Amino acid sequence: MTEKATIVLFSGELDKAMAAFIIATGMAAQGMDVTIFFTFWGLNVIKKDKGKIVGAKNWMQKMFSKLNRGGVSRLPLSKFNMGGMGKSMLQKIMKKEKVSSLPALMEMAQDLDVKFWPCKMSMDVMGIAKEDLIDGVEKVVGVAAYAAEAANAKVNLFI
Amino acid sequence: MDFDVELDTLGLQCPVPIVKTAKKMKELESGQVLKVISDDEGIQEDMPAWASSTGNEFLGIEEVDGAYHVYVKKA
Repeated sequence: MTEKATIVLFSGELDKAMAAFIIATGMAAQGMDVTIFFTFWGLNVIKKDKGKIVGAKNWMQKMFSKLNRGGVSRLPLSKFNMGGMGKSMLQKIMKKEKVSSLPALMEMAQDLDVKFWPCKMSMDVMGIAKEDLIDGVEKVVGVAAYAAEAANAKVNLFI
Repeated sequence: MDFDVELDTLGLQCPVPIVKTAKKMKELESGQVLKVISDDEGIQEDMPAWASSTGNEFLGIEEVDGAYHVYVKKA
């Protein structure tokens, strides 16, 4: 049977998301069946970059989704972000060192059949509809679906 | 060393050489040898690890002009 691995991506920062996707693609390349469970700030990584967030229903969610717009191009660094200056410097260095960008890693992950599972509860709290998420999100799940996957997995990470 | 298929990953960083190796191996037939060219130092540890966990046979590494030529035989 194929070995399984899961990653809970709780963080919505570029560096942490990159770590998650590098590990996910590495494990998928090793033939493992990999699932990423996106919860809380991690949902920002798979929010569409453009357009209005349609899931925000009341004024609080609308305000929240303005403050927490998300989308892969808007993710800050977890350290030394410095209003985006640190991030743009790091991105320049990474480009020079020929490190794949986060969008490229995410595309690679989808190409390797890494499953993207957003957490339904977080989506409800944060006012995010499935239409607000990028294409290729396999299914919207709850913790039970994640737990079942994790129980059968050899590697389970929380990032 | 003899090989059947060559894969150039020069300039590419982790995890791309391994991801590309995994994809390329799917095109090979059992017993064929893939030669991967990489200038990522990490490949020295990564490729043997990848081969052993995927059940393929790691045949060896040659260092040529600052690059690594890695040979893997498909199981």
